[in-house]
Amino acid sequence: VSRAQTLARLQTLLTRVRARARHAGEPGEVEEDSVPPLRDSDGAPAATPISSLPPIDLQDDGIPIATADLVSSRPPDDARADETRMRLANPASSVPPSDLREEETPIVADDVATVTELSLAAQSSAPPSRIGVDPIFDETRNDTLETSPADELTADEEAEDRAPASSRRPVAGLPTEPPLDQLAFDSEEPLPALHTPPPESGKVPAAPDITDYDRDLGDVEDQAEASQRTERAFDSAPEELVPETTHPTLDATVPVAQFVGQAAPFAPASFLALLDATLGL
Amino acid sequence: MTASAFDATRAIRFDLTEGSVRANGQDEPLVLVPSSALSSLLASGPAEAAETFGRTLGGAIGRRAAAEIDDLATTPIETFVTQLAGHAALLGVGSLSIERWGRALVIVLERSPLAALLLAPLVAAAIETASGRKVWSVLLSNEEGAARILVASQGGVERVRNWLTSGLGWRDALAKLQGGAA
Repeated sequence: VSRAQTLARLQTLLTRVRARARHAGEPGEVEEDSVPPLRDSDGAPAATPISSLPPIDLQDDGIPIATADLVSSRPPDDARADETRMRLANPASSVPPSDLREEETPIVADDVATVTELSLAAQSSAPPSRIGVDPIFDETRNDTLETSPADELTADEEAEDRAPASSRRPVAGLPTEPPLDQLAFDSEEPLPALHTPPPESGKVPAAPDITDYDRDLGDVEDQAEASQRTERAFDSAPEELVPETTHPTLDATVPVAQFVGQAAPFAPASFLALLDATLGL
Repeated sequence: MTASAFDATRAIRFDLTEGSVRANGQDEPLVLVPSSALSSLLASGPAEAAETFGRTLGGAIGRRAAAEIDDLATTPIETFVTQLAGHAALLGVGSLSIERWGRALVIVLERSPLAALLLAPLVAAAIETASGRKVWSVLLSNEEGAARILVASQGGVERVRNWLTSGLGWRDALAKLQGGAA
């Protein structure tokens, strides 16, 4: 992919983002004038207006890092991670040449245009979803979002893609949003709906008829079959009620009564004792 | 002779010269009367006359039995019954025995030639005379040649009489009498 094609795609993506932001009409809409045109030195769209920046002496130890970071407009303090890479472009770096590997050829930054071309080349090789952000700086991406206009566009785009707070409902089964680069280059189809569509008016499906309680609950019964069986049950003539008797099982051989002691027998010793007893009746 | 044995030796003395019959040791003469004649007499007279006849006859039996008993308080049942039954047999009123239904005393007269109407007063008078206690009696049954007479208090006799009149069986009446006394 040539540089021109890449830039054209980026321009297309930017146009789409602006259109969506305009369509949403939410605060944070990106104005067209506030975004600097991305054009390179040949007049083609570029990522950042590098040519408008003043030339920086790359011989200085502190400046070259900032010069290289102008592509992503990151502050010099946040660019410590790629300091090593920038040393390649600074032959007068404090790191002695002996620390560098032999195959690494120091690059003399005597021409700003050369640095610009390198930066543009790095941008074109970077994933399109990270506009103006060097892939090496992904770890410090939060810092770069504050200052990079292109990254601001990316942040705004992410904010626009989220559903408003009033309609954020968990939607199950919806496909995840395709990546932005796929939307820009490979697909023209609109995003699927983020919200659950309202139910259609009309008949509400009846609840399933559960008439056979003996079946396993996990068994999904055909509703039509269940309805037919229910109708047959109601259509059949009522049968005569017959009681179902349940008798207890009791063991009659168990000795329930227990006799303790013995009743005093009536044994009168004399006839007069017997006579007194009978007269007592 | 032990107290439990009844000695009937020379208990009745027949004086054929004088034409008299006398009991052993008794001065009162006896009259041998056919039972049918006695029954006719009792049937023709009032009920009180039959009761009086029965009580008089029973008293005679009791007195003779008591004469044979040395210590009534310590006399066993068998001894008392033996003496009483022996003197009843000498007079020809039947075979006397006793049954004890719980606390109830029942006198049994078997093969008695006397009318049933005479039996209850006869038994009561014999017991009273022999024991010296006032007793009451009621005829429970007279079947198969055996008459059963209950000896009890006046109230007990009245209740049993009412139960028998109402149709209750004599055995049930005796059982009921036991429950009421408990």
